Amino acid sequence: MKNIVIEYFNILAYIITGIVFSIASFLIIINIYHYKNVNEVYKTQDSNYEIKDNLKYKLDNIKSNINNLPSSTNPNFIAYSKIQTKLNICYEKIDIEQFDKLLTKTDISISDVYNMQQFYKLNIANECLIKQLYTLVDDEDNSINNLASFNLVKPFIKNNIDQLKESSDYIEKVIKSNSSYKFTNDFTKSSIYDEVKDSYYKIINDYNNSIDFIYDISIWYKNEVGENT
Amino acid sequence: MKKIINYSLLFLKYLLYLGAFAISLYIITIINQKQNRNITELITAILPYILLLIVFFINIILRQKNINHNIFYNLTCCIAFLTTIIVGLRSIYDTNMILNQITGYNINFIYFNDYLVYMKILIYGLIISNLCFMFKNKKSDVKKETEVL
Repeated sequence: MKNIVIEYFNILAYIITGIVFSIASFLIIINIYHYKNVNEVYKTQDSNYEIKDNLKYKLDNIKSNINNLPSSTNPNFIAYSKIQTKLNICYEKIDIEQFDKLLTKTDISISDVYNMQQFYKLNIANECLIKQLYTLVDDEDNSINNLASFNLVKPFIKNNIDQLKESSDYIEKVIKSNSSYKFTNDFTKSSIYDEVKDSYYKIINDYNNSIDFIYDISIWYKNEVGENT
Repeated sequence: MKKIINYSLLFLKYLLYLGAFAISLYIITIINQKQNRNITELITAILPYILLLIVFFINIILRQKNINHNIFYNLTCCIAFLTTIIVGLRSIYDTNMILNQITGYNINFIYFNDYLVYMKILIYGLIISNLCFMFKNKKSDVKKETEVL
């Protein structure tokens, strides 16, 4: 009887050791896979340089467009000065060293994509689009709203900001979840979404759309001020 | 050959135990400090390591060959401790896990916290199996010895 009990204990010991062995092996394999997945690096293509050059070119043009000041005799001097100030702040928030660093990176990792998304969210969407350009639409003292030409472009500004301000939020949610084992597997990566590459292009696209939008407003401003000076 | 594997696994087991214990203690202590957690949480996280250490001491003192020279058990111990070390090192050094940056502590607590449950399961599993291995059939051991002679 005693021998049978001892044998049972021995079997139980091997079963428990087997279970521990299985769990530990599973965790070690999934960790190696997860590490490989999270540390994936995307090498940027030559075509990206065109996009980056185009962005820099537009930023330079925005700068030269908003350098035109309205004449002091202009009846809408205050309104145009306000617009010029807001566009200038926008430009200063975007065209900084950090923006250049993000654009000139050749090896993109998931943390770079996250930093690009954060730059877009904080500097472009919050500081420029919402704090500066959206306030143009909701101007309290009506000095800007009295501009007839501005009222024509007002719906365009409002609609574009509504679209651009939250366009990269879902990327942030996806990237933030990469600290768990539920990060994409090979199937979802190949068929649906590549975390690094696709998120990178989505954010570059958002940069492009936002700078295009500011560029369009700066051209409108230049034409208006040019006509009135 | 079997003896060499046995002794190398035994040595590796104690070495990896120290590594796993040290890295777990380091991360859990910092979690407790930064998040002002109760000391009992630190003790409950470290308790399985202390119990396992006691069991290992018993194995050494009583010279329990059926455990110390059990390749499967020693290999399982090595893999379990290695997993803990890998998870611990990734929590500290894998900056591509974004929560590492966001929390601002330079340690991914959330990732390590997810693993803590598995860690307890693994170590308590090793303790229980070790205790079960302690019951040995003396007759079969005598038989084995006589067969060898």
